[in-house]
Amino acid sequence: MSRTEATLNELDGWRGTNRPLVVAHRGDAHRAPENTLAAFRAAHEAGADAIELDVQLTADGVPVVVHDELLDRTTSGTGPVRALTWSRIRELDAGSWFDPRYAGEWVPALAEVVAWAAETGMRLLVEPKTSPVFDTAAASALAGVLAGSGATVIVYGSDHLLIRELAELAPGVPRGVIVNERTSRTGQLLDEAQAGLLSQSTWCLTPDVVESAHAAGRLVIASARYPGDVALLAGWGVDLIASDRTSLTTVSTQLSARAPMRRSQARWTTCSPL
Amino acid sequence: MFPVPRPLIAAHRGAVGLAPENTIAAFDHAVDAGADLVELDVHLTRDGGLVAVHDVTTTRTTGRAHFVHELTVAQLRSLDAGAGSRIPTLDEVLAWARDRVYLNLDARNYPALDHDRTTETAEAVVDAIERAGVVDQVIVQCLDHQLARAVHARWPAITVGITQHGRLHDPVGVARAAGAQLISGDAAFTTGELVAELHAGGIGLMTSAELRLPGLHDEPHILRATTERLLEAGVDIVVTDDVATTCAVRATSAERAPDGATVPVP
Repeated sequence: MSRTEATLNELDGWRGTNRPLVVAHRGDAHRAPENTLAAFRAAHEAGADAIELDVQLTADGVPVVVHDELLDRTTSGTGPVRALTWSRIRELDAGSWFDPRYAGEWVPALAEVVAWAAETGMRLLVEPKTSPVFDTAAASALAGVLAGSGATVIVYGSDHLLIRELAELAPGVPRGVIVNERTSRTGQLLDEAQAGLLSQSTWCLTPDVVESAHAAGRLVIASARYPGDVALLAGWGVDLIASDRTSLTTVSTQLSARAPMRRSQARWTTCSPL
Repeated sequence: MFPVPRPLIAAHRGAVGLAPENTIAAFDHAVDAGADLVELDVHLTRDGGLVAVHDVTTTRTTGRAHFVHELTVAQLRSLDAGAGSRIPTLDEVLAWARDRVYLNLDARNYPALDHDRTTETAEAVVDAIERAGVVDQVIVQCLDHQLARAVHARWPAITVGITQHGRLHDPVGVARAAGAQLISGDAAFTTGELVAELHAGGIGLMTSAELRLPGLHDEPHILRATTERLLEAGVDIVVTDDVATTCAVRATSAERAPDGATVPVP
């Protein structure tokens, strides 16, 4: 089996449905604090097919699930995630900023979420937000958690070199790359990273990009920034549609309704302020 | 042109702390604060004009919900861009900048729209630069690499930059494929090795020192630390919301002499 075939075969757990998979962006982040187990459970209950989450490393190299480089917005802590050890971060409140009802939520370790996903069967899209400047051990730390975890996971991100490293360190865990620009070299970028999933910004995604990805056996994920994006992306054959500003509920409703949308009207909504 | 210290300091959308973004007032403040470049965003209007607006809509900056590409220049000019200022046209900005300051024109394009205006946008931007006689002062920056190619093809003398958020295996190849001489990249991926790789391929690097977290103001000490690190790495252009702080950091680290790296600005 060639390397390319292996890369594509790894994605089998993400294929075979006759509709796009619904991805809950940071969990059901409209109903519970993003990137917490409460948000992941809410997404599971709401019937999401997969959950997208973000990973940073603590000072002692533990992969934790939090979006921003700083703790300030979504926790009771301040400063960079990488400045605190895991035991310190574990004490922070990651729910009250969203609603006092969630005061008991914490910043979960990636390992906790992966174990939960293996138990529930929920698929995970794991996006490392690490930096090669500071997090030189990111690849091995991620591989340590993801390899042989028993969960259905894709690891994908903007750091294409990190993704490529994981092809060696966590074989069997499928990979994707984020390309938020329109370039003629998308296929090459995927090849270089040995990635089977393309994540592209909705503003620059066009049907021909989806077609060429599919022709090469790859999958495409895009975000619904506006409700109208859902029907449009589904019409183009996008394989995974992530909630974003558009809530998980709206994405699911739009998808099951498949409300007919005038093409011009839908296209309007795909372009969003960057 | 005019001699400037390296790296160049670019004011993001003008001096945004002092005047509404992407207005002549913000650009004036940026020059006063010591910026070498003014970074601004340009959009093609319904009638083929070019105006300085960042978002695809005018909602955030004018309080009126319109798509920029759906309005004419005259309609856009009738909106209040903040503090009574008007949305400037590109012609106006180029005339203002002539012999005064470098410009980084972030040319916006949305190929997912009903009709692809890539060629039209490239032609309008290039023609405006030619008319104003400022080709030596301008970088045309594109998130859409196909727009970058179109600009380069129309007038190869123009300095073209591409925005590239990711950390790639072959950034030089991606820049060359787009006809670009400059990459605008992320601070998280900016290292001395990356700068060396790009410079060896004749490509410059522009990086923003800001964290850009929604709703969270950057701590000055974080901005300083990031700027120091970017200077250390040898970037060619630092983009900032806080020109004064960034200039101060550059001044204090001036002893670390420039390595002779070539900035792809004339």
